[in-house]
Amino acid sequence: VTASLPTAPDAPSPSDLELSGAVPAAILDAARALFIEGGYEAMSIAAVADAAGLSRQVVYRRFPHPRALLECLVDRDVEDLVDRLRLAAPVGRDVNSLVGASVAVFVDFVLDHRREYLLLFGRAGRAEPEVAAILGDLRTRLADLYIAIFGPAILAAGVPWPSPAQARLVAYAVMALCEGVVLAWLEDPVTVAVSREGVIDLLQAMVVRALVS
Amino acid sequence: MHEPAGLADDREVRVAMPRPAPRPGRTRRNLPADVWRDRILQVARVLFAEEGFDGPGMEEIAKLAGLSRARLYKLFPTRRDVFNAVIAEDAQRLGGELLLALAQERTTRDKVRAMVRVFFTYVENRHERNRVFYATSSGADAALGESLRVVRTALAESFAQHLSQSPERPAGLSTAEVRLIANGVIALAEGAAASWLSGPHIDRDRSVDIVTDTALRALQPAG
Repeated sequence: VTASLPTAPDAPSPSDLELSGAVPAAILDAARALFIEGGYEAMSIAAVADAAGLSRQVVYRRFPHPRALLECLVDRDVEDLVDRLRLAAPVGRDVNSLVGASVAVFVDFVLDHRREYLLLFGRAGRAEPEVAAILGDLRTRLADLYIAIFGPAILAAGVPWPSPAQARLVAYAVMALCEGVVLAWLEDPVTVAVSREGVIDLLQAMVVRALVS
Repeated sequence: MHEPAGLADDREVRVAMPRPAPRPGRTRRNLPADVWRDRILQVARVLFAEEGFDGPGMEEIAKLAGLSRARLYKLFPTRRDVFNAVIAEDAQRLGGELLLALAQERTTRDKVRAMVRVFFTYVENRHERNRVFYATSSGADAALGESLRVVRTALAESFAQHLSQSPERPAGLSTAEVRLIANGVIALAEGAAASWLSGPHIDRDRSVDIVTDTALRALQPAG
């Protein structure tokens, strides 16, 4: 009886898509578009499935909850940021050029993902508990990455190595400084007069002094 | 020693001769809305702190605040609205303390230290007293963050004003750049305090010193 039932002709079977890897990309692109348009609330599994032209079942199987989708989106962006940082800030450079390169990468990353960034770190990110939790994890990962990148250069500059706890606290403080300056630059009408280069120079100077002076 | 006994007696008497409780809201129907608001938030704060965000229902809040559910829903359409109003009160109080700290101190060093201390003290107190209330799943931090937006703007304005008049002000910086710097230092203090308890433990005073020094180094005029 089951064998005689017609199969849906309109879509490839979920397992084919999953094998080909096409599912995550199509789903994530649809999710990103919905997130940018309407924030986390607009990113329901049903809406994402409709926008990607997939059955809800396929999306649910990969992403049981919108939070998993957002985590995946953030992961993809973080990988992008990490790749850019690794390219721009190779090991062995001095603190000043490392900070300059990293700050430029961060500012450009934010400009490239401007709307997502404002949603994540700005108003919506602060108001939405799920987003806030994901941001918490993200900051922890970034703090570890920055400590790995900057630690040796700071040490080479003759600054005594702090305890791991202290290094982490300073890393969080400096990350918050960069986020605060860039967020204000994007959101506060008084500060739009500052150019991209102006923001990078200002942050570079502040971060270098915070780390090694 | 006398008072507890008196209370117990009182309760027994009440149990022995029950009177019908006044219908919620009836005797106080003509209280102004902001008085009700205060009562509701006072009750809700205790309930959320004891039971977490998912604890108290609107019915329980209404009952303990002594008003009808209809009236409660008119003032706060959802439980999230009650919750956010409680958080907004916290943010207002925190904002007041921060602005006061900033206004009371004279030098940049003292202003920064006072601000950092307020943020860390806030995080510490709230961690000890309201562990359930501020558990990550409740979204209290997120709601607080949103309520703090207004506070941040006021703080940044005040601190930028101080920086632009201070003798340490680096030459050649525009008003906009000073404003960015002020925003960065406030974010630094807040961000460090917010992540303080998620990392390995450093005690509060030591953390305040580390973060203050980091902020002051970042603020040093170049060259």
